[in-house]
Amino acid sequence: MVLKGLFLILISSALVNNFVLSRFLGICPFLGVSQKIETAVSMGWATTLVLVVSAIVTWSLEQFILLPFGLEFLRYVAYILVIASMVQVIETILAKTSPALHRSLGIFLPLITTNCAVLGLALLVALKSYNVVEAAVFATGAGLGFTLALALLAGIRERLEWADIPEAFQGTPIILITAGILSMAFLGFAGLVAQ
Amino acid sequence: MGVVQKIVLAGVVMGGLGVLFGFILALVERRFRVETDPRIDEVEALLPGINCGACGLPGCRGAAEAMVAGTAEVNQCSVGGQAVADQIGSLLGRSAQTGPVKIAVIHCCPSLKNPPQYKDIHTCLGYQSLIGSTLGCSYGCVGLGDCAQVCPSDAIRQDKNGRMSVVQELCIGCGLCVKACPRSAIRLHEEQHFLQLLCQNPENGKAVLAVCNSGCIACGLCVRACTHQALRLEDNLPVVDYANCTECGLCVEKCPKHCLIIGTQQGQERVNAS
Repeated sequence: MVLKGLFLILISSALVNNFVLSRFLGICPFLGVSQKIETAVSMGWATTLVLVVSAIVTWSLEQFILLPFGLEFLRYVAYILVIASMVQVIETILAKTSPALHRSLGIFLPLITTNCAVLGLALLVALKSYNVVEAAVFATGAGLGFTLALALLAGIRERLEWADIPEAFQGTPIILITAGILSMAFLGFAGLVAQ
Repeated sequence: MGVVQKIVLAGVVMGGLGVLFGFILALVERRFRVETDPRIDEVEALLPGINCGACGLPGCRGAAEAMVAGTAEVNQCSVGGQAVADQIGSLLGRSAQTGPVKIAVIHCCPSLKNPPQYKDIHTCLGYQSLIGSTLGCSYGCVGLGDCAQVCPSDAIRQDKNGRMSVVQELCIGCGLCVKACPRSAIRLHEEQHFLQLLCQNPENGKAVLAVCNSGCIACGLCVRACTHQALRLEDNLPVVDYANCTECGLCVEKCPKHCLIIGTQQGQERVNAS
């Protein structure tokens, strides 16, 4: 029973309400790191890690400090503080354990801090009053959905390089149109999970 | 709880969180520190920072790391030249001599009789691989700009005949264009070697005349005009002896095809004409 609920949360956050294509969060890395499938997927994993860690830490913050003291209004500020610190921690650890990945992600790793998907996730967890396990699963699903969206766009962009695109559409315009069509395609998942 | 108390509490909580996470960050930083030689940053600051890759290393950061590690010579940056080599050398306690400053020259100044058509082919390499040389001259500039694409200082422009030429004042001598040209029409020359031939077609005059209005026809007028014994014909092309050449310009005047030039003329005139 509980597992089914968790599974539904996973499917919901990964596909039905995909963070990028349905909720329109995290567009910056979506457009900025999707030139090649390899880097897109690496970015996806890094963001998933940040999402899960932040979800758990912000949930703890909410439960043990903000709610007991009635400081819900501090949510935005406190969450950003947590997220920024977590990203820095992850970057430091990554620099030591996997220098190649660290170098290939480059500036986009610290930019995950400003990824509104991370803050959005933390706030949604608070909004939906999930418990810690649900929050972690929610974050995992969000990360997987994010990675999927990035990989899809990267795959299409790699093909687009060889396509004959009219001059007016070359570059950002065609990418935005592609993203829009991807978004419409994901509407097909609507109704899969009763929300 | 009163408003003032709440504000104070909020401040205390945020302050406390800040201190807590600062602590965590410091701990993680210490545990996962990556030791880098501070000299790498200093060497990187001395290098030009263009990341052209001409040294054969991955960007200026890569070059800095290799130089400090000792796997690269301090004079390996041809763009920085002797000045940079000296600075890096004194920083690392090593020294190396650099060669003379080099400039790229594109050896082609054509007005082809049947210029090739480039339907749907966008690179010189593509043209060379797919079509090769069925039309026009097989040795000349294709004109699709593979060299201009790789040039880190944007020193290669297209003239009105559709051929590429190097603006010598901007050329940093990295040599990337030399590698990019599929016809091997670009070569690096010492800056002081002002007299250059804008053709590399080694076929006889009749064959060249059939394909190009301005290619070298090996008539030998330049050789005969030279009063300093600086020119001789080899493989239907004049070869310059730079030890004797005084840049008097007699050969340039005599050439009926106008394919000999002196100094920065190539860059300036052809860019101005386009």
